[in-house]
Amino acid sequence: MRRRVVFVMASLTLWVTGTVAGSIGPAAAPASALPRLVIGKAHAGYTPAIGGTKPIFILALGSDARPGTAIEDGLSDSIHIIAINPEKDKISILGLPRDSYVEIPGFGSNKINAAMPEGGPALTIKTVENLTGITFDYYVLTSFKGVETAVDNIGGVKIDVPFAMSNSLSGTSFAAGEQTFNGEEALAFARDRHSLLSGDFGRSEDQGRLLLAVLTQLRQQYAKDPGVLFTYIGAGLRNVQTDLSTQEVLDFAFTALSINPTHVQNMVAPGSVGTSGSLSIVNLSPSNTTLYKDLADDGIVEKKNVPPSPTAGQT
Amino acid sequence: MAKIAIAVAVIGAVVVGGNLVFGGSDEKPGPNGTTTVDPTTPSFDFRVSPALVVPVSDEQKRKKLEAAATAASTEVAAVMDTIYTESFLDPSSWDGAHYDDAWAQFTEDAATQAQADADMLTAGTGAGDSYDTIEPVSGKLKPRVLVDEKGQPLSIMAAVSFSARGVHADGTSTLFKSSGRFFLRKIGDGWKVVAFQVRRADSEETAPPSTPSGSATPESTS
Repeated sequence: MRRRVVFVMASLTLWVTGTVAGSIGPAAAPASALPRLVIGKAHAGYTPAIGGTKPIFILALGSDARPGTAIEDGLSDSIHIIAINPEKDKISILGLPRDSYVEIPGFGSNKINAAMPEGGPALTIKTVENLTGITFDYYVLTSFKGVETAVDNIGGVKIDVPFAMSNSLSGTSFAAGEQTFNGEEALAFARDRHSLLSGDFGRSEDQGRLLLAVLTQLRQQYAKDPGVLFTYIGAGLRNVQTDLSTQEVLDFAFTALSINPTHVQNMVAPGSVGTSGSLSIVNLSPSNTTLYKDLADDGIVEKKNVPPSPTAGQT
Repeated sequence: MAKIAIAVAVIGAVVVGGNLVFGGSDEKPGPNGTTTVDPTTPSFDFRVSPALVVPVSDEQKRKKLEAAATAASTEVAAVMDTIYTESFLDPSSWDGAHYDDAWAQFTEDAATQAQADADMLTAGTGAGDSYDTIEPVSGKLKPRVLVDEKGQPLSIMAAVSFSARGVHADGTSTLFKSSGRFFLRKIGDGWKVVAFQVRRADSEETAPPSTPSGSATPESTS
């Protein structure tokens, strides 16, 4: 009996290993063609990237225009300089607080977000160029609805919320930690300043976090299904106004895929809150000229010039 | 009369021989340049699914986009047919590991990387020593089309799955399985591969038995 059990066990073992390895010879191998040896899974790939040494500067604007109002008639409540250094595969994001009190060419001093209703994206570009010394290659303008729809079109965005947020005005009610936002939640995250100790400075940083989260997610999803690249491009272009052609967006998208999100600097121009008459304003720090110059130089800010995170102390 | 017959025979031999030597009728224009195909190359075309269009504006008319996308997908399918035929099926390519007709379908930068990954993208640089024949098993292509602001196809991602069987001299065979995502763009008059991701999962196969043999099921051995 014991010998019979051993024989059965041995036979089963032989059959199982034979089926897995498929290499025990004609007696055990089925007549049909079963895998005998898996050569292995291998992959090869190539993704093009923009070449050259010249940094590329894009001004990303978020308009507060409500539905029914022209997008360029709204206040630009979100202002970010996006710099791409194709040579070093790095991206820098520098947020400018919307209340920054600056010179608007031809219109005197005012909050920076007032440039758009006065002269559209063109005047906003001129204003930021005048402030920073950076010459922009392109601009991108979107609205509340645009952000919401674009995020929904890519199936939501996974983001690591750095601290709990709760504010009825913007609609946030988020615990700290990684979570996937739909369009409405992503917009609320990007709009909330009341939950943040650093107010508008922290909000600007959160908007950079959202951009970074989209880039991170695109890279992760592209590795599994490269077709998502078109989904992201389509979602983006359908919900923004820009002077970038689809061809250029495709080139940038390919380039973005080659950039590790850990190589992205997300910064906010420092300043202090003050008033001008009845206006609540931000006085940008005079030392920012070094920051702007450094960024304009090659699209990268040296470590010594990187401003501290406005939300660093918040838990 | 006999002299005429000899002359005809000689001319005939020269013409036939010339064709054999120079491959007179075996050269045909490929999607991107002239492709030399061995006459014994098995016929292969990807089975193409309907194109999925990605618009960049809500104003774009879906039907117009689809018509343009379908036409472009047909052109891209021809490029992918050439790539896979030249990479796996044309003996004049795999027998001597000359895959230049496949690389001609890539942009210069992409071709450089493709050549470095030749063993992943083709039957292999040693295929001529390993196989007697390679025959296609299946091929499917799903096109995803990004249109530009004017509604013209700008880039197409061809998601392909392909399999072919390479038979060794001893009767055993290798089942090639290649799945890839190829991004193509229209450059000049033709579509070229600008980016790609290809995975391989080949397996060795045993030869079918020449005579019926006993079943080797667990039941029969226990």
